[in-house]
Amino acid sequence: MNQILIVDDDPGVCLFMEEVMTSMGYAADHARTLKKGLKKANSAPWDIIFLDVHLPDGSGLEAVSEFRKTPSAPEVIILTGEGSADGAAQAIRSGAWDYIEKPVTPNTISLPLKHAMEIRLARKAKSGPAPFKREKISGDSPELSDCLAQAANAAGSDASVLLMGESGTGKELFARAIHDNSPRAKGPFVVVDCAALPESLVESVLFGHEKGAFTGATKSQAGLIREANGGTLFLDELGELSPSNQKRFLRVLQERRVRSIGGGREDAIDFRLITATHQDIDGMADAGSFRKDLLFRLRGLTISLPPLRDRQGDAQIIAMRSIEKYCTRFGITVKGFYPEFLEALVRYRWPGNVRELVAAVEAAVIHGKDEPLLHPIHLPVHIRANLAQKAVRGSTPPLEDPMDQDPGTILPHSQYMQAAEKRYFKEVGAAASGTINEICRLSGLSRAQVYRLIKKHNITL
Amino acid sequence: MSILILCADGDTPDSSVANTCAGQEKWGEQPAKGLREKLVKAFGPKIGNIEFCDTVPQLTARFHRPMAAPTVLILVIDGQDTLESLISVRDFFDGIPVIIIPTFESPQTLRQTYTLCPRYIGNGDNLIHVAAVLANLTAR
Repeated sequence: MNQILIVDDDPGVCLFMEEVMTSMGYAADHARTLKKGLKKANSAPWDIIFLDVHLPDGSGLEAVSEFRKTPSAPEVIILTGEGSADGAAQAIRSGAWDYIEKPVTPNTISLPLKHAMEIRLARKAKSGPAPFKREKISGDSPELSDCLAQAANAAGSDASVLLMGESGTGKELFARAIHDNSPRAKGPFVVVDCAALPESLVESVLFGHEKGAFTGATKSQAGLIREANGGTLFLDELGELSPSNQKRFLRVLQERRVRSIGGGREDAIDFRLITATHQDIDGMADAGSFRKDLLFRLRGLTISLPPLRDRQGDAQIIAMRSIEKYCTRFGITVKGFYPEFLEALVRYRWPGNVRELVAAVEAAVIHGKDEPLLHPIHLPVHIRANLAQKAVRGSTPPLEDPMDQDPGTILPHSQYMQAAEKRYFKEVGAAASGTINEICRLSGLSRAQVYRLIKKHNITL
Repeated sequence: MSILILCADGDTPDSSVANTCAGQEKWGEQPAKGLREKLVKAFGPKIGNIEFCDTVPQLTARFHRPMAAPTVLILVIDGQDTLESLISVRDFFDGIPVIIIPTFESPQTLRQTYTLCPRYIGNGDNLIHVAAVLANLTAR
C-alpha cells in the first residue's frame, strides 16, 4: 500500500487528512514537528509527504530538499496559508511537487495527490534493471536526479520530448542521453540548431532540396529530417523557427512524410523528435509567435532543467571533474584547491550555468598552472568582481540585470529578452502587490504561466 | 573570438593518394586545394583569430594547449579516414560548436558526420552560408 506522511502541527488537520487518505486507499501517518517528520521520513518508505509551512521548530519550505533526500525520495506537497502567494511561489522554487492552500478539503487534496502518485508509480515501474547512462551529465542534486529520472522515462518511450531550461543547463546533453538510452540508440542523432541557421537556410537544411530548386542549389540535399530517419532529430532553439517553417514542420509531424524543396516526391520517415528551448515557449504560443498546434505535438513529455544555482552541491562536483579534465588535458599534475575556491564557486550565481562554470574552471587551471592549489584569485575577473560586490553590499550587485548596462551596449537578443521578461515580472509583481490573481489579470497570463515564470526568473514577490 | 580550422592542404600528395587508394572516396568538384585561402577570405575580416591545423593529430595537440574562448571549430573533412580519426577524439570538442565542410561525396560517409553533432554541414564551393552560420554562432 502506498504510504503518505502528513507533517502539520494542527491535530485537526492531521486527523482530517489521515481520514481522507485512508478513504482513498492509502496508508497515512502524521508528525507534528519538523524534527519528528524528518525522523519518520528517514525510517519508512513514504511516497508522498504533505508538509505544512509553519511548524513549531522551523519552516517546512526550507526543509523540502531534506525530505526529498530521505531514502524513499518522496514527493512533497506543501500546505500553505490561504492566499499566500509568497508561500506558493517559494514552494514551487524549493522543489515541491505542488502546493495546496489551507483550509484543505477532500477536493483540494485528491487531485494533486492522485497526479503525484500516478507519476511516482509510473517512475517506479520504469526504473527497471537497465541503468540510465548519463554520459557527461554531472551532479547528484535531487533537482538533477528528478530530471534524470524523467529522461530515463522518456528514453523508454518514443514520445516527443521538450527540454526547457536556461542556456548552459545541458539541454543538448540530455537530448543526447535520451537518444543513447533509447531503442533508437544505434540510429543517427541529428542536431538542428535553429538559432545558428539563418532563416533563409533553415528550410533547405531541414527539409532538403533538389538540384536547381533555387539559385545556388548546385546539387540535391537530403535534408536533416531524412538524415534522422531511424534515429532522433534534435531541434535546438525551437523558438527561432519561423512561422512558415513551423507550419511545414507540423505537416511533417502529422503525416510522417517529408518533401524536398523543388521535389515532387514525398518520402516516409521515422524519427524520434526531441526539442529544446530557453525561451518561454508557452508565452510565445499565447502571443501568437509560436503555433499552439505544433507545441502540443512537441511536448509529449516536458523536462525542465534547473539552473546550476538551484542544483545544490552540483557546482562543486562539476568543478572537481573539470579540474581533473583540464589538468590532464594540459599535461599538468591534477591540482587541489583552497576551501575558498569552492566557496567562491558556491556563492557565484552562474548565469551561464554549467557552460560558464566549466569555462571558469578551465581559465582557473590555466591561470594557476604554476600553483599546486587553486585559489579564487585564479578565477576570471568578472566572477571575482561580482563576488566582491556581493561581499561588500551583502546583496545582489545592480549589474546582475543585464539591462542596466551602459547605454549603447548591445546585448545578445536572447539575453536581452530574458532580462526584459524578468524586469517586466518584477514590475507587474510590484504593481499587483505580489498577488498572483492580480498578476494574472494585469499580465493576461495563466496562473501556471505566472508560476513558471516566477520560478524561471527566481523572482520573490 | 577565435575559430579553429582543420583543413588539410589539397596539394599534399599523401592525402590525395590515400583518398584515391581507399577507393571509397573521391574529391568533390572543388578539391580542398585553395580552400584554406577561401576560408581566410570569407571569415578573416569578421573573425579576430583564425588558427589552422593540417591533421587530426595536430588538432588534438592543439586542444592540449589553452585557447581563446569562445571558439568555433570548422572541420574540412576529406573522407572516411579523417572522419574516423575525428570521431575517436570527439571528446575534445565538447561544448564547442562544430561546422563541417566535406570535400568528399560519399552519402554513407556524410551520414556518419552527424556523429560529431555539427551545427551546420556546409559546402566548400560556396562559403556564404558557412559565414552566415559562423556569424550566428559567434554572436551568441
